[in-house]
Amino acid sequence: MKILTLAARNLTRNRRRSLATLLAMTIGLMAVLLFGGYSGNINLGLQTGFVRSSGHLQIQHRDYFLFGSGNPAAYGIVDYQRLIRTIEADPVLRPMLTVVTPTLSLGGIAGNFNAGVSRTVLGSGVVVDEQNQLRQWNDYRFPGAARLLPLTGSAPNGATIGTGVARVLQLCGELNVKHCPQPAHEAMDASKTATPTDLAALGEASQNPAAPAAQAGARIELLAANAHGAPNVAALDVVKAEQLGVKELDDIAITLHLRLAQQLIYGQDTPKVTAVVVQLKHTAQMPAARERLETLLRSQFKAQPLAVQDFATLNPSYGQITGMFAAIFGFIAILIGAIVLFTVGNTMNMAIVERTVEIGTLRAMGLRARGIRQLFLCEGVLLGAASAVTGLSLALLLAYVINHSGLTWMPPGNSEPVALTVRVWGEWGMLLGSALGLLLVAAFSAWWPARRASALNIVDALRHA
Amino acid sequence: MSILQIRQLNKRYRLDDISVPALTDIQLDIQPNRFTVLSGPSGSGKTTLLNLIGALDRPTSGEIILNGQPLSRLNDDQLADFRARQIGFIFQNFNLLPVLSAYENVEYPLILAKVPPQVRRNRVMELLAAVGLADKAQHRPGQLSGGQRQRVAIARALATNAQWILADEPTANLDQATGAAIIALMRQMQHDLQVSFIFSSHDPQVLAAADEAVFIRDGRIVESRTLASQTHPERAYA
Ligand SMILES: Nc1ncnc2c1ncn2[C@@H]1O[C@H](COP(=O)(O)OP(=O)(O)O)[C@@H](O)[C@H]1O
Ligand SMILES: [Mg+2]
Repeated sequence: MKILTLAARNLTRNRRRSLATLLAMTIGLMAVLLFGGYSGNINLGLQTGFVRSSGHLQIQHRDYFLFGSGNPAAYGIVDYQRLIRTIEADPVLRPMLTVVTPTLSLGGIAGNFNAGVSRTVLGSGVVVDEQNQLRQWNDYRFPGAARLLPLTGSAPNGATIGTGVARVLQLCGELNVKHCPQPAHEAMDASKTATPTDLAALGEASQNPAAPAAQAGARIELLAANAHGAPNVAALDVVKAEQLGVKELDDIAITLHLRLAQQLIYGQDTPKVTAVVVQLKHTAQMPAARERLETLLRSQFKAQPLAVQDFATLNPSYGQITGMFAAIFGFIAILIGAIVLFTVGNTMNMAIVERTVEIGTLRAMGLRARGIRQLFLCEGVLLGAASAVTGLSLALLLAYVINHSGLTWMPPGNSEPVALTVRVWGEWGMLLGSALGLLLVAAFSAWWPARRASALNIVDALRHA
Repeated sequence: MSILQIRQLNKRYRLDDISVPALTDIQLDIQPNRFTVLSGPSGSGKTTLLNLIGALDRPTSGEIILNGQPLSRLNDDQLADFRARQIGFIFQNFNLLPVLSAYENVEYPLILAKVPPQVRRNRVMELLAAVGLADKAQHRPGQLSGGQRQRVAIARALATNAQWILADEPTANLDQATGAAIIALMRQMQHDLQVSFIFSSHDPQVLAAADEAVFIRDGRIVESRTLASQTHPERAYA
C-alpha cells in the first residue's frame, strides 16, 4: 500500500513529463478505440446488410454454392415446404428463428423487345413479405427504419431490376433512373414505343396503393431455360430500377416473385427452390443453429444432399473486409504499443537517473531490491492505468460527439452516404482488451528500467551527484 | 549490547583497470553506547568505512561483526533486512524523500520493519516531538530548513530502535550554529535512547563532542583514542 502511495506521489513530481507521457498514451488508446469503433461499426453494418438480404444460414444443395450459378434449376431443393415446416416447428431452432424463407435463383435473358435490346440477368424469386421481414433484422440497433422491398405490393408478374439492367435495356426514362446515359436516337424510339406499357404499369400500380415505387413502370420479357432445358418466357412489369452498390450486381440483378420464378423454371412440375434462408435473432446463435440444422438434414432429409452455408461463406467480401480492418487495427495497435513502450520506458529511465540518490537512500533504509523494482513498476502501471481511464473516457466522449455530428461517408459498395458512426460504447470486449493491453505494455516498458534501478549499487547510488 | 568488531578490513575500488586501495588493514573495536567519530581529511576513507559498517557495501577482504552478526555471511536481501532493523543512517544531504511529509519520512522505516500502524503512530509523534518538530509533521522536506530536515532525518534514523546510528558528515551542509544544535540534539538522543552513534566528520565541533575518536589517513587508522573529557561515569562500560 505504501508503495502505491509513494509511486503515485512520485508521478506528481515531474508533472509536465508525467502529463506528456499520459497524453501520449491517452491519445494512443483513443486512436485505437476510435478506429476500432469505426471499423467495428462497419463490420456490424456489413453483417447487418448481409443478414438482412441473405439471412444467417442457407440450406442449399451441397454443390449449389460452387457449381449452382451455371444452372440453378439443377440444384433445386425438393419438398422444401416440409423442410421449412420442420425447421419452424423444431423446439431447438424455434426460439432462435426470426425468418425462414425460400428463394429460387435463376439465370436468363431479359429483353426490352420494343427497343430491341436484351441482356443476361441473374434473377431471384422471393417471397416478398418474408423478405421484408428479413430486412427488419437490426440486432445492432442501426438507426433508420428498414426499407421495404420495392417489389412489395406489386402484381404477381412484378419485378425490380438493377439500374445497370435498366440502362442496357433502355428503360431509364420509364423507370425514372437518374444519371443514366442513353444513346440519344434510340432513346427517342424507346420512349415512344414504351408509352403503352408505361401506362399499363401505372394502371396496375394504382390498384395497389401500397406499392411505393410504382409511379414508373416498364414491361420486359424474361427468357429462361426450364428444368428440362427448354426455353420459357415470362412477361414482367418492372416496378422499379434499384441502384445496387456493387456495379457487377447492378448490371445483372432482377428480383421477381417466387411463384412466377417457379412457373418459369418448373412449369407444371413440382416447384423447387435453390435455397432456404434461415435468419436468427442473434449472430452468436449461428453455430448452435447450424449444428441443429445439420442434424435435422441428416435425420429427416437424407434423400437429398443438402448442406448449410453461413453468410460469411456466401458473401466472401465480408471476410475480406473484416480481415482487412482487423489487419489495419492490428497495425495501429502495434504501432501505438511501440510508442507507449518507448514513452514509458523513457520516462522511467529519466526518473531513475533523477532519483538515483533516493534509490540509494531507500536501499540504505532496508528496502530490498524487489521493493525498488515494485516501486518503479508500480509507477509505470499507474501511468498506464491513469491513461487507460482518460483514454477510455475521452474515446467514449469523442465517439459520442462524432456520432451526433451528422458527418456522413460513402462506404464502398454503397449507393448512398451513411452516417459516420464509431461504435465504442457497448464494445466492452474491445474497451477492456485495449485498456488491459495498454496496462500490459506500460508494465512491460517499466519492467526493464525498474530492474536497472533495483540492481544499482547502493554506495554508487548514494554518491550520485 | 555488543562491541562492533572490525577485523583485517580492506577495501579497494576498481577504476577502469587499476584497483585503488581505499581502506587498508583496518582493525578496530567500537564500543556501543558511545559517540564515536571517524576523523580525517577528505578522501581518507571515512565514508567508505561507514558504508562497510552500515552493510551498504562489501569489503574486498576482512570481516565486520555487528551485533554478533558477521556481515559477510548475509546475502543481499538479508543485508537489507539487517539494515532495516539494526542500523539507522543520517546523511550529509539529509536524503529525505521529497514526496513524503516529515511524519511519513519518519514512518517509512517503521513500515519497512513491519511495525503495526498504531505503534508507528505513537513512535513517530514521540520522535518528532523529541527533535522539536511536532508542529511540522505534515510539512514536506521542501518546506523545511536544512536544520529542520536534518532533525527529521535524525528522527527517521532512530525510528526503528536501531542500536547503531551511522552519520556521514551530518553537519557539513549546515552553518556553524545549526550544526552545533544538531550535534547537541544527537548527543541528547544518544543519551536518552542509549544508542551508539558513529560519525564521519572533519568538523572540530563534532570532534569536540565525541567520546571516542578514530583518526584515519589514506585509508589507515593512524590513531584511536578515548576523549577523557567526554567520558561520563554513568556510561563507563566494562
Ligand atoms: N565508488 C568509488 N569508486 C572509486 N573510488 C572511490 C569510490 N568511493 C571512494 N573512492 C575513493 O576512495 C577514497 C576514499 O573515499 P571516501 O571514503 O569517500 O573518503 P572520505 O569520505 O574520507 O572523504 C578516495 O580516494 C575516493 O576517491
Ligand atoms: Mg566522505
